[in-house]
Amino acid sequence: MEECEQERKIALHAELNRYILSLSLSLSLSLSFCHSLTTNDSQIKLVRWDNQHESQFQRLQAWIAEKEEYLNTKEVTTSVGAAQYQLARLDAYDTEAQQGTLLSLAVAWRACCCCC
Amino acid sequence: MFAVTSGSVASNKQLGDDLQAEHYENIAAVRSREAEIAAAIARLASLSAKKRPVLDDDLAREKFRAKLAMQNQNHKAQAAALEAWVHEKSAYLNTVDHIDTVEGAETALNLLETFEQEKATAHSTRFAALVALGKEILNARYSTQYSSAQWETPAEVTERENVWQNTRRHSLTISHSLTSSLTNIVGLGAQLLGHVDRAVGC
Repeated sequence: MEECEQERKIALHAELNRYILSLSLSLSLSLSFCHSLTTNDSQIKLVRWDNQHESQFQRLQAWIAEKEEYLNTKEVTTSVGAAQYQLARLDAYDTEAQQGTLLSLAVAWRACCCCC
Repeated sequence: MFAVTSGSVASNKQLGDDLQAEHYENIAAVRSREAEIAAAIARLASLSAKKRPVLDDDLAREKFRAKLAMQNQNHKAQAAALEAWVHEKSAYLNTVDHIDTVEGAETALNLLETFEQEKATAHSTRFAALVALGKEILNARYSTQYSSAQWETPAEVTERENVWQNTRRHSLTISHSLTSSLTNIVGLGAQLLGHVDRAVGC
């Protein structure tokens, strides 16, 4: 009877050890998975920012190409009105260029990036 | 079309800074894009700075041309007024009055003298002003490193002055012929009066 009881205890201990080992493994796996998830999230975020950066770059390049063509064009002006119009157009370009390059609405942009 | 909104470049740069702060592995490509934009913007600024003086010159040249066009209009109006005056006086000069008395001839001679004075005044004032304005139009020049301009139809200006000269010459001929005829009449009248006086004296 005692022998039988002893064997049962040994079996239970073994079972408990296996359970603990499995729990430990599971916990370790979970931690690793969580870490991996966090790293992945961070990478995804950076790639998204990079894509936004690339997209902004392409739009700026398109804008620059358009403006470069305009600035390189010599208009044929044959009246005072036409000359005044061309000067007003250049003023408008300068204002647009200055707003695009000097002023900063980075905060608004950042807010947009954070919510993406 | 895309419009560069306020801070487009600044926000692009900020995004690059954020990526660098996060130790993004492809930061070199990001920074390269930003450098490309910065270089292009410097190029645009230089182009804009070169374009402005050209456009300022366009405006100055067109103002010059507009002023010439206005002066030409004035020249045309002055020439038309002179032509109308000449036309009116030609009608007077071409009218042959029937004069059968010495008094009539003397009145006609006085009228002709008045006309001559009027013509001399017109020549020294109105025609002189017309010629001066014509000269101003023809001599005006606009010239800069970017463009040049002058009155494009100078022949039109000189032609207007020629018309006046020709008409004036014509009226002068008529006037001389009338003057000599009237002088003859007055002379004849005087001779006639002398004969009458002698006959009466006898």
